[in-house]
Amino acid sequence: MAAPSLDILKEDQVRINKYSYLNMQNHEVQRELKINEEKVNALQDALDELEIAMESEVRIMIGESFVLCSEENALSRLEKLRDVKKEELNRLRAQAEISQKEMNALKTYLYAKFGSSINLEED
Amino acid sequence: MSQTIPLSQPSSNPRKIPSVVFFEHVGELVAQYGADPLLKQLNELYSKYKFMEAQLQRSKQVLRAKLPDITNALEMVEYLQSTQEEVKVDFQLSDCVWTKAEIPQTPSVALWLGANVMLEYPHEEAIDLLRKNLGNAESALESTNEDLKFLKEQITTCEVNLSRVYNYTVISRQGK
Repeated sequence: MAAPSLDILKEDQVRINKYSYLNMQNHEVQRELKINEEKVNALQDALDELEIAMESEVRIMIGESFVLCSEENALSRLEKLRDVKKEELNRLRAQAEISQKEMNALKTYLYAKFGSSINLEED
Repeated sequence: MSQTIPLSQPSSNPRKIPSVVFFEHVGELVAQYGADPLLKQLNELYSKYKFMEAQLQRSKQVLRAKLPDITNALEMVEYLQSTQEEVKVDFQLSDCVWTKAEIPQTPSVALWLGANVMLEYPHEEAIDLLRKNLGNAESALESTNEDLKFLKEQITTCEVNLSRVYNYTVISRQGK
């Protein structure tokens, strides 16, 4: 029976810590991604509805109230906002991918070194 | 009388949170201090870190809730500054009650500063103040996140230390 290795190198501890931190960060990023995706979809829907409805004046949400403004103003504001949110979405997705890759690499290394003495799964 | 085992040390963290000492060889530690006091003190240290983590998570929630309020206010003031004519809005009077208002061109806005205090500012100053508050809130959030990252590292190291000491005691008992 192989005894679990009790002596751990400093660099392995650093790796375990890194994995733990990346995991925590990944949860945050996933949460933000979800919120951001919903926002982008909502803005896109709003833009689509605006184009269909032939209104000259519409109300758009600024802060917590609805402001009456012309269709062109509303259109340009919404488009700008949607583009900003889309960029954020892409940035978040890229970040999630990078941390996922790093986590997988760390996982492979740690499982190879410690085998069943370490558990890196979500419970 | 049990001695205090050096399990943590001062760190370079800006908020002076101590960092956990990392042990290469658990056996020496158990031989020097004894398994039970070691486990007890490690557990105490661990719960302290966990408590701090919970505290920081709570303050992070508070900060995250503040951010949309400030951005909403900023959005509105910037809009008011940009229009040349009066603004017609539907705003919320209370839950489920909305009403119309006409906001004439005004040179200033009133900002709620908290503690039942409201101050009137010209648009430019209001925008500056709100941007400054937003900046402060964002940097507070960032330093909280940094601390949480640091804490997570210490907690993980602590957990690994705990399990190593425990495993060592189990194995040495089996060996006997």
